[in-house]
Amino acid sequence: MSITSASRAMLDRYEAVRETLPGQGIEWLAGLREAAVQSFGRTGLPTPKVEEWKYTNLRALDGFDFSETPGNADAAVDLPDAVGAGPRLVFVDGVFRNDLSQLRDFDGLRFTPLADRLESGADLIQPRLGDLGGDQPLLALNGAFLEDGYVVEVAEKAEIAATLEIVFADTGGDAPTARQPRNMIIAGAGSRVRIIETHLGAAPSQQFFNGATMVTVAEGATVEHRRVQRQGAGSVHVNTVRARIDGGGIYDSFVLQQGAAVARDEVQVGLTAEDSVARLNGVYLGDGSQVLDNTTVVRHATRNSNSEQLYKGALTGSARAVFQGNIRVEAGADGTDGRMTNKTLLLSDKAEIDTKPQLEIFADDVKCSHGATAGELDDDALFYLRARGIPEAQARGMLVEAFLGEVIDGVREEPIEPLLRDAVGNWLAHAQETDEA
Amino acid sequence: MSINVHQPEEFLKNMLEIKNLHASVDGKPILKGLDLTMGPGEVHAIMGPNGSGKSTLSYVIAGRDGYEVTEGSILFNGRDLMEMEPDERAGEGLFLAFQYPVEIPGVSTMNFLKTSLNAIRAYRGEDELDAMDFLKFVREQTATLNITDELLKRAVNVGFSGGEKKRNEVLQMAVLRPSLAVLDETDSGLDVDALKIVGEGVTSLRSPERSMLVITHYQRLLDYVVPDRVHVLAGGKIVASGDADLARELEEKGYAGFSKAAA
Repeated sequence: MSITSASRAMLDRYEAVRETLPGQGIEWLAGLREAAVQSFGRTGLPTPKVEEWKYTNLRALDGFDFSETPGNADAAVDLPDAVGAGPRLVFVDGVFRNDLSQLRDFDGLRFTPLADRLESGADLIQPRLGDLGGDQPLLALNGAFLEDGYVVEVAEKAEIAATLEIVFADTGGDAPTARQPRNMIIAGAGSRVRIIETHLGAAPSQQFFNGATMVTVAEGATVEHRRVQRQGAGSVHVNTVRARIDGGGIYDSFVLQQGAAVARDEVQVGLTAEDSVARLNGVYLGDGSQVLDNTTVVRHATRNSNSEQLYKGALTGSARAVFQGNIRVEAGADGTDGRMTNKTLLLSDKAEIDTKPQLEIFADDVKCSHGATAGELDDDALFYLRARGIPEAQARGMLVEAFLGEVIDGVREEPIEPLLRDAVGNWLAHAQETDEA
Repeated sequence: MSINVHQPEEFLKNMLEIKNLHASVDGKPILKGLDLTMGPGEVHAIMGPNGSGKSTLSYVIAGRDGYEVTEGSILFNGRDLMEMEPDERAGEGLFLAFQYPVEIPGVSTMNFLKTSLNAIRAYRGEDELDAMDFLKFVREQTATLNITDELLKRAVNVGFSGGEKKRNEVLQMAVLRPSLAVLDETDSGLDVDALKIVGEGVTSLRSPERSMLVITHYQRLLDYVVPDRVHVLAGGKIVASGDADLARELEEKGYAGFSKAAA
């Protein structure tokens, strides 16, 4: 089977840099990398012939020349303001930057770069790194490179009051780059933690970001995982989260997808015990020729688990969004409650949404639903606002903000809320400028 | 440099001056030569059977897309209304109370009122009201209309009863203080009690600076808002005009005679 030229370039690159990757000399890690690269070599990057990738094409990567130099450890970067007084880890061009990070001690929390924990935390890290997602080529590719990312470890019953922040910034050099961090969130029984992960990039940069985050939510723990994707306009961004939720545990995910040329945020959740809960929400704002993909796979494996999903977005220009939501209810998983909704505002004639809800139900006593809508702004509402003196651009903005408000209300009073409202406001202003031009 | 243009006094006497108005919807002529002149502070009623063009007239005045003026003119305070966007018309002092107020999920009634008022103030070059002043101002208006703070927090018209929607229209009129209010079937869908609140609310907004054009099928709102002039609209034009007695006459005898006259 032939693989794409970008896939070949990735394999060549792996050969070139393997001896510079984190964790040299750790035998089990070398074994994992080798298995991962073998797995990736068999399939290469997925093409639209693969059902799960039918709507999102990674061929832009074939135009990237990955003969890059390693990340610059001193690159200057404009970082956004911290969202609060919590600890912050900063990675710039793939390199952990101690000088830009704020490491603060909290009782019951260990928050470090992965490279610091590969040896000392092997007992915890190794079994979780082994979970590569089998036949998923992007996870395999990430597993081969396995670059430095973040690790959050929360002790049993620890409730972390501060919001943990991680910034992945790309300064946008001349050469295309590939960043493949592996992250981990491990929440002990009864613990509670909130994390904001921000992805930034310089406007013209050609970056391939292929991140992976392994989340373990133990009994009765709550993890709130927020992701803000604002990569550079030339970037290809794939971020895969695999979460395993134990009894009474809650994994609460929110993603803002706004940047990159092609982006996919994929959340795979296993609800493995009673009363485990997954809440997956997202907002996407697309313009130009962007492709923004949100994919979710929720597996209800045992009785009485619960999942809720709400993804809403606005698209203009010839932007396209993809929503693929899969809820699978295994045999015997009675009492499952699984709900999924996707709604899109199409603000231009050429904007497009491909929405594919999927329910696979093998149990009898379940409540599952899905709904999807796509449409333009309501003309009646627009006229009503204008008849009350509100100029057209402002009236359109109000209606878009009101539409997205339903999702944003889900993170009300969190540090991410004002950031989201600003993002929507700025996006609208920019979209309206572009329309007038 | 500014140029002061002398306006003849008679010109200023007319707040609204509609001449030979022809308008079409989807290429179908609805208004066919309508003439109407209103002075400041006057209340006129337009009555007519279903399909006579009443709602078309209100939408043409407010500037809704799809209502095409093919002939004639509308002057509002001496200015050509047809040249203005709907929001500019509101800024100039025009207000349409909708027959079917629109639901806007996700926008609170309070925010809607505030944004509207400030947009109109901005159009007129006035400063925005701050939150406290605005709240005080709105509370003054809600008391007589029996509108609760709870309703102001709800999304615009979402889940409102028919009476609440119409009271909300009157509240908007009270807040925005137009110089010309067009009330499109504001009495429709109201029970007796709601009609009383709306009727008294509208009446309390009568003033020498505010004209009202009350478009209605029935006499009942006019028991509260007694008009200076009553016009019968049939077949797309005014076929008869008179004083308040004409409305009562129509209530008794119906529109049959007038519809025939227009045909």
